[in-house]
Amino acid sequence: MAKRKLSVSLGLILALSTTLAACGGNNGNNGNNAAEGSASPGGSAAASTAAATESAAPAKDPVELTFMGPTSWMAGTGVQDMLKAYEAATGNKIKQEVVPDDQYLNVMKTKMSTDDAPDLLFHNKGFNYIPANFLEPITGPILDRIDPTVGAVTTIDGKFYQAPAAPHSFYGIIYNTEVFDKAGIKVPLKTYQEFIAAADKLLAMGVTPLGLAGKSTWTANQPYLVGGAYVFAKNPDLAKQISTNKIKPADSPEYLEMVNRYVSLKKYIAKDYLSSDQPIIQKGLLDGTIAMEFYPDVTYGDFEKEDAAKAEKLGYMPFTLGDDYIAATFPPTDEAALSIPVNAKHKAEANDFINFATQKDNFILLNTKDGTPGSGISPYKDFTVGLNHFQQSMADMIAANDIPAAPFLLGYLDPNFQLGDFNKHVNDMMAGKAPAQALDDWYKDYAKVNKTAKTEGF
Amino acid sequence: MIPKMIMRNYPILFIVPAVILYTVFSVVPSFVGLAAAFTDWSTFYLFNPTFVGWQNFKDLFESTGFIGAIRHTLMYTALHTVFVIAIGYALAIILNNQVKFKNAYRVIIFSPVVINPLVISLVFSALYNPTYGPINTFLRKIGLGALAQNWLTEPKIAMYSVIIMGVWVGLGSTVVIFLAGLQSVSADFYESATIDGAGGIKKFRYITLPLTMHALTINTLLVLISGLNVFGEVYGLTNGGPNGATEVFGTFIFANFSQGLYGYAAAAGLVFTVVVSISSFTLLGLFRKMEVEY
Repeated sequence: MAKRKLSVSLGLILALSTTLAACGGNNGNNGNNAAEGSASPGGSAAASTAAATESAAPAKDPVELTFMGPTSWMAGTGVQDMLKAYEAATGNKIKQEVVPDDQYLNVMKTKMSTDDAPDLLFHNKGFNYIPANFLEPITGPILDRIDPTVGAVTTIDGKFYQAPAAPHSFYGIIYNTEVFDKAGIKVPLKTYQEFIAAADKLLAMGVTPLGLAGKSTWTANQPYLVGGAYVFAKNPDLAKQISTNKIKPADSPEYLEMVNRYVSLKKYIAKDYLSSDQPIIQKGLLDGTIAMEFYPDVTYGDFEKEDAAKAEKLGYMPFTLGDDYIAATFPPTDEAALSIPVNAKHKAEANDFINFATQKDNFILLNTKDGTPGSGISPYKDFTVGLNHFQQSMADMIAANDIPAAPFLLGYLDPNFQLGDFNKHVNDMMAGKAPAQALDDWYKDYAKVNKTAKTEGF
Repeated sequence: MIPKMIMRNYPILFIVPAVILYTVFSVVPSFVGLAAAFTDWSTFYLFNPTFVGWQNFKDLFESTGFIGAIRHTLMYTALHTVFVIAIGYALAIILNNQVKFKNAYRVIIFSPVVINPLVISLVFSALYNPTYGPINTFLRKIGLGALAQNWLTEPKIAMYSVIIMGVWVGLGSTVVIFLAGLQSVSADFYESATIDGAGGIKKFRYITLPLTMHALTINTLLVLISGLNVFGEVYGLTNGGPNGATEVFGTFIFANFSQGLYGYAAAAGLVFTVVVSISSFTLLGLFRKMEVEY
């Protein structure tokens, strides 16, 4: 009887192992697939031009493209109008697959892995969201139009995988100009030392120098990502070494120094920052009880809605934790992007769609919400997008002071590098954990993910 | 004429559908989970997991997140169990006596059981709101503003806030089981004890407690397991925050699964199963020794 039980159990385990092994054989997602059958962008100029010309012309044999996106984005009137414009221009049909935001990535990856991929994906930009091995390289005139700095983030071995579908926003500091004037602080604050001196002045005035809406766990990373960019901008090799596991962040004196400077800002942040949500900080900034906040520039509309006159008195400026480097930073990832799954059924038409959707008028239509066009930095060289008050303030300041625009900290890391739970170590430090320890904990976390993702060097 | 073999085995035929369903939806996934724990199965390479031996377990115990999750889960379980059992037992004793409106009290105490933990979490989020929440508002109104706290965002306090909600949720079913146990104790024992001059404490020590030990056993086990299993309450209230201060087994596994690390999450799940099993059987053995026959 015992033997029989044992043989049944062994049989079951064997059957399961066989099932898993059989699954392993159906490798639809390995790194090689992405490269197969795809034209090299560099060598496809003629084909690209032809594709672009055809993209706006009605198709000879109309096809139905499946377009998959998260609920909140797909609900936008601009998105719907742009899809209609594409249908009218080409005769092709768009079938929309709308997935709840919080389930989007899982559903998308599952569909691609089960060979049920849509033709087009609408998602956050970056290989942390969709690895390159799931995607088909994008070709066509877009390759000549994309801003090289932006394009580099989603390009691997010369192949471009994710097309930006939204303008980029600056990440920097919103500041109250009246409070700054009263304190006699001149902007921009071009070094860490200048920033600390200004924060001390504000503190002495009885104003909270920095507001952070810590209730949202990502806000604490803003000064780190923006101010810390200098460490990689000045030493791009360090970013490469960290991305390929040649050095741990805590073992790099430069990186550790940057993180220590970040932690030194705690002194200037409102005490109960973990309980602070954006409306509280927003009100403080407008009233002048808080002098500065790290927050993306696209939020100007919220300030304007609260008090348009006071919002006009706010400015936007770059920030650095470095001694001699400052840039107007933008996130190279996270914005909306379009891409083509490696197992899409209509790859050529999907590629034409992306070339179509990223042309000026269509791009602006795609980013129009409730009749208001999106604003920010255009990821494409051949057109610009309108700027809101914060963005204009930043644009004026960087033009007057000859400050470059550059990606924030994470933009220097290898596109394939998986960040793991980046926010955790940032919040840990804010909660009092020693920077070196927090960095080591982050290392363990991202090393695990990169090992699983088979990132080079891990 | 039905063949003899079918006649002899026909009871088995009735249970076959259930066994098939149970196997497909419970046994097979359990074995797949077991197998997955030893692979690098992830969203990056969904259909070609490779065997990695004990690596996932090694990584787990090197991860401060996992160690923190174990510590928080054990803390939650210990405090949750102690308070739910103590308060539940006391409430059941009170409700077992002739109290006015006792049926209404029973309904009120039992009501959290039928409400989804996520809904309860939303209600408690509102109660705990540091600015507008009724708790802090009340404390400020009565001049105890210094006691007003950031209940969910202060790392040192957040876990206790979750435990308080967990205790409230857990009381309903616990009281019902204790009540059933108390009602099964014959009134004769108490009458005899009264004649012998025993007071309330002695009656509790020598009659109530030993004769309701089976209810105490089952309740403690159930509450302990539900404490170790905690997920909805934490997910809804703090999602493991602030800064990992309320991260428990459930949220740790969920976070890693959401990150696409299926093998790693399965390994964490396996460790979790082992912890729950060991705790349950140890406690069961302990209580069995304390039960009395009558």
